Amino acid sequence: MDEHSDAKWYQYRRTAETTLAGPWMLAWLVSTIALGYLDPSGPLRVAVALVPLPFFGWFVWRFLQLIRKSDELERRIQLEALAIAFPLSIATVMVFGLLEGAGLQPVSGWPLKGMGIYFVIFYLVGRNVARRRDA
Amino acid sequence: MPVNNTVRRLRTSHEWSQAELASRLDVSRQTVNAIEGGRYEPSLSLALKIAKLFGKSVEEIFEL
Repeated sequence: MDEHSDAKWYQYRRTAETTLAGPWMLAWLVSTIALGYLDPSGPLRVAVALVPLPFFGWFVWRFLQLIRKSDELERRIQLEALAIAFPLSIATVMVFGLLEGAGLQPVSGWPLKGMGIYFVIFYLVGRNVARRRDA
Repeated sequence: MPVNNTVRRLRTSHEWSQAELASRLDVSRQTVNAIEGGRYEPSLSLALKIAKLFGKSVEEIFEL
């Protein structure tokens, strides 16, 4: 791994991290639009709703491959990012749940629908915090 | 308690770049940079690898 290939590896990592979730997000978007506009019924509705699932499985598989190729510092950064993202996501959902319990639901269905979004945002924040501190 | 190390001094005495040392240790340049800067304490296996590479004991390179 000379300087050139090291730089290329990090460029690859950055590209992979930002593009891996692409197919999953696209499938989720298509599924959401299809459910809203085409309004299928019965088993087809279930199938359309679950379209993002295999894409998410592929994303997790590829992400794990990326982690396994990483060195120990990068693994620690990823662990810290997850350690930040997980409790913050839970706390955010809890806040919405508590507000809902108090009859103050900001947006209908927010707590669970937003979980994935909170997690991604907090993961990116956590990763940047960990990288600034460790790398 | 921070762990001090002499990795930077050893590396420069061998006239290696961070990337070159990273290549020899099979880690990223960022990891070497973080170890040299004292921001990251390597695992035991990496510390042993560093010691072996420089022909020294771990205690000679890393100290509390």
